Amino acid sequence: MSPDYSRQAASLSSASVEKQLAADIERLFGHSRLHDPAVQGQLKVTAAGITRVLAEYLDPEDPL
Amino acid sequence: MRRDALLELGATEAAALIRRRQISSTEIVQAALERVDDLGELTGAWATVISEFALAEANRADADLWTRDFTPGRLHGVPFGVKDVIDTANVPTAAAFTPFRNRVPVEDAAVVAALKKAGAVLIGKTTTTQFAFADPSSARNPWARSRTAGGSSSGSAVAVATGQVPLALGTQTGGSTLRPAAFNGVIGFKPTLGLVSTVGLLPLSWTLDHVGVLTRNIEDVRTFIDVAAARPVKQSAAAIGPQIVPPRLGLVVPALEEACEEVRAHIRDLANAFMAGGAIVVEVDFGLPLGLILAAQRLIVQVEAATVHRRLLERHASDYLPLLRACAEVGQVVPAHSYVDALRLRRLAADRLEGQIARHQLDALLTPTVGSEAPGPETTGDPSLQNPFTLAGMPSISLPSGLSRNGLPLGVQFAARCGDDIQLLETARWCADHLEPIPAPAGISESPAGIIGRANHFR
Repeated sequence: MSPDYSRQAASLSSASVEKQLAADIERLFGHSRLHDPAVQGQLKVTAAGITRVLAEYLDPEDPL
Repeated sequence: MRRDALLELGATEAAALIRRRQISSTEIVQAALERVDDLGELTGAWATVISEFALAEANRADADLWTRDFTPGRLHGVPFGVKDVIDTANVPTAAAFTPFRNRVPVEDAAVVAALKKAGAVLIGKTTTTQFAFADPSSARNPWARSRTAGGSSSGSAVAVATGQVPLALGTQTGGSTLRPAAFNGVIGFKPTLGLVSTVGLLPLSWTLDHVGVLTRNIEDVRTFIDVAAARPVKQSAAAIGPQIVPPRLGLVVPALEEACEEVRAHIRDLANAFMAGGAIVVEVDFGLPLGLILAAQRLIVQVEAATVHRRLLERHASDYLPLLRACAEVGQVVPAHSYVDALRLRRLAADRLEGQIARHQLDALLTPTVGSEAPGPETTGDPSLQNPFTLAGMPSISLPSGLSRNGLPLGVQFAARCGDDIQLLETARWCADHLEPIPAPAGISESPAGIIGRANHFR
């Protein structure tokens, strides 16, 4: 990952990551799946996980 | 020997009696099948039972003992169950997935082949959650029907807890062996990643899938390792006899903070009891924030489960249960860089966890297995405290450690460095000797008396 992209990604909020994931889900599986409660739950947890990994995991081999 | 006494035997002990012809394989397999008849439906523990085949195998096992130069295996003639995501030759392996109801593997999974080679007699396939994920199965907690049996190896845990078999195979990708063990009052063990082959498992995550085992005593776990290990197992000094030196344990404080007040107090009491017996207990942490560990674990499972299920999902979407379907769908849109970061975090988590053990010269880390007693049947329970050791590939074991105020089993978890499986068992054995036996449960009116909650059944 380039330093610029990494910095940008790490500054993302969980809500914006969730919005991007939701758009991808809708594109792949349709509107009805996006509103399935289980999918909604997974989206929240996944977005929080992605954000946390980006924000807290400082890879020692990263050029940053 | 009476039927109930036969069914209280551990697998190792039963095999010894069979070898000495003090009991027969036919007797114990017949007894197991009768109990399955009595309890199978009540407990929902079985997906498939192969009575005729099992009895034929038991008869053959008895006949073999009269054959000149025959050397019986470590589990000769002993009945066992296999979680229904692990392939069994000529026996359906359906993973609780309707399109797989007629799926009949032609070969045994490597671990099943190993147990059969040791003489064990397969009596059936135990209930699993769908593809070993988080949608609850039909297995019922024998301690309280209003509580979950856990998951995903719920049928195996229930079958062992109710004396239907002395040993059953499970799998663990997050907490699927140790958590149901804790909720049902039995022992659950997950070896070092890769020590037991996963060839022949229906995968959930190629990176994190482990084979596990559920038993009622530690000796049977040791026998399982001896029989099923796919590579030489590192022995410990204690392997030549019981551990007499009290262990050094690392009480993982952030794990306590995840637990409810009752479980927190219970684990503190256990630590005090271990110290009173001579153990040294020091306070440690996970080496990384638990939330970060859990995020990495979930991302790996999501992406790999999505990969496993992508094609099946296209054809059979409506046959998927909600949580697995959602996982397989959302996993397809996780960015690749997040998956790679999660894999790298996995290595870092293992280094940090093992670093805690090395820094404090510990024999094992100590946590609650789960932060609460078994919750309601709408969930399989919380995997948060089992996940870190699965992510790190470290061996871990759950022992029944007491009862909650509601009379439900609680579990204590120990984890050791990768490769120290035998040392972990010796530590667990020492600790088990310092635990109060679990009394028989009260108020389980649906269950026949005297079949569950036998005192000291986990020794």
